[in-house]
Amino acid sequence: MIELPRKAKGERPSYFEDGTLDSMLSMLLALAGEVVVLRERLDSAERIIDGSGLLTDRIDAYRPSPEVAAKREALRAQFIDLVMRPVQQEYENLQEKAARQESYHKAIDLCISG
Amino acid sequence: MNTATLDPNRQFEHDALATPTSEEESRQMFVKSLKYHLATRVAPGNKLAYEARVLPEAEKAGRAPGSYHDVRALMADDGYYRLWGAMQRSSQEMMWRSVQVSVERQIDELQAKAKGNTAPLGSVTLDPDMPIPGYISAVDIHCMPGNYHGEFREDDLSNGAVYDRAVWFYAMGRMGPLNDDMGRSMSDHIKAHYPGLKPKRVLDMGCGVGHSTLPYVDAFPEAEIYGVDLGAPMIRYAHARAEAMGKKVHYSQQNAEKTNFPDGHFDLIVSHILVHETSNKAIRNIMKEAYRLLAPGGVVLHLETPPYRAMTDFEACMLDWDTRNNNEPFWGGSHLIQPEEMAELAGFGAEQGFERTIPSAFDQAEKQRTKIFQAGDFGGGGSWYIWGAEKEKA
Repeated sequence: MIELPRKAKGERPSYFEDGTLDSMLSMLLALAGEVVVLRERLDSAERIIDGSGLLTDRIDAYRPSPEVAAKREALRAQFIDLVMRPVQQEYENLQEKAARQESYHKAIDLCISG
Repeated sequence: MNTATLDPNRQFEHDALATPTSEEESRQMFVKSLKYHLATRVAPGNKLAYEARVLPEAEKAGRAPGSYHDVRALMADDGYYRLWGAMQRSSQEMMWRSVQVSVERQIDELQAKAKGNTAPLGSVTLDPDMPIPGYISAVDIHCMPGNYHGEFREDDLSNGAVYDRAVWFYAMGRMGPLNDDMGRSMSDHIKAHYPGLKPKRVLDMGCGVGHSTLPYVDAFPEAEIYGVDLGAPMIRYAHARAEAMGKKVHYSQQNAEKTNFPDGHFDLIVSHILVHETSNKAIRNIMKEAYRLLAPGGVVLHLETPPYRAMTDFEACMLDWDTRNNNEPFWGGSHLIQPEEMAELAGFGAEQGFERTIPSAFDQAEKQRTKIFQAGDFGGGGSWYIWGAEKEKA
């Protein structure tokens, strides 16, 4: 074993007024990752459980086939969509705002030309 | 190696690679999915935030931006941009951690394998006394703890192993199972653009773990291939990786600003994402060194992402994020370089300088590419920017 440093040299930028928020966000994302790790481990267990042999060893040695990898990719994308929903909502609000502005501009153009 | 037979959705597991356990792989793949989500589903909102509220408010206040620096100053207060940035930074830190854990577990094995090779095809030469320049040591580049040169045990290659695996996640697999899209795209271009060039020796400057070096072994089977890098762990690992893949390369730990090769030793000098990790002074030295090292009729080519002059101020601001947020202090500076100026001061002559755009060779990733050059989306542009200089024939 070796212990590599976890901190990259260089000042870390702060993205929010309160540094606690930066930490909370980092923890949230790390936690989200660990939930996915758990879920995939369960997925491995479910696929293996009906076979024989030491379950833990087989789970650790399990490597997804291309088909399973593709399925997991889709599951992860869905999971991230769910967790990141508040951000997506902000994005959609911005899209709607842009669309509203555009349709209003079109209405003005229509009235002027019509 | 016939890359066409490799699974395009998985990194090729050569013998030197730190292969993950089931759980480690899940953690790593999560980072890849998160980065893809950020690039495709979150990052585009920045433009909307800019156009819908940031720019109109700035114009109303008489602060219309005149440069990408102005755009950055305006965006700094936008909540959506901040949230995206915070998550982008976190995803980078998670990427390194997810790979470190896996490398730490199997380092003894990886090191033993590297040392066990008694009949190598190529060679590895280290220089423990070589000073690490300030532009590398000032901060840990792209937030990789320990940087390119950090050593944490004797004959350490840990960070080479970390880098090899992490790059595949950083590019979200879109540089191919061998992380070699840059080297393949460039060598394809060189063969097409310089059909008469039959290099005897090729030098890859800032070769890292050799992702971009190995394509030249296949592209120019008659040539001797050399790679130099500042980081000892990179060079040790690059050697182990090349040998594991049956490729003959001569790697040495050297500073590309001043190497120990004789004058006119190379017909072709290349670099891939080296320039943005240097400095204004260093890239000038590197160009002068390239001029010295090239035989008449030779050519030096550097691969990067496009310069800021080729895009709008908003796009430049989004690509420039790495400068202040991803420990890439020369990212911005490198995107302002003028090839003619470099060619002139290095001795090639201004008219010998050039810049071009070349397509990505790994076309199986086309569907996963955004075709945008923006922070956190590396390998997603579908093309690369190259610049360099041709040395006149004698």
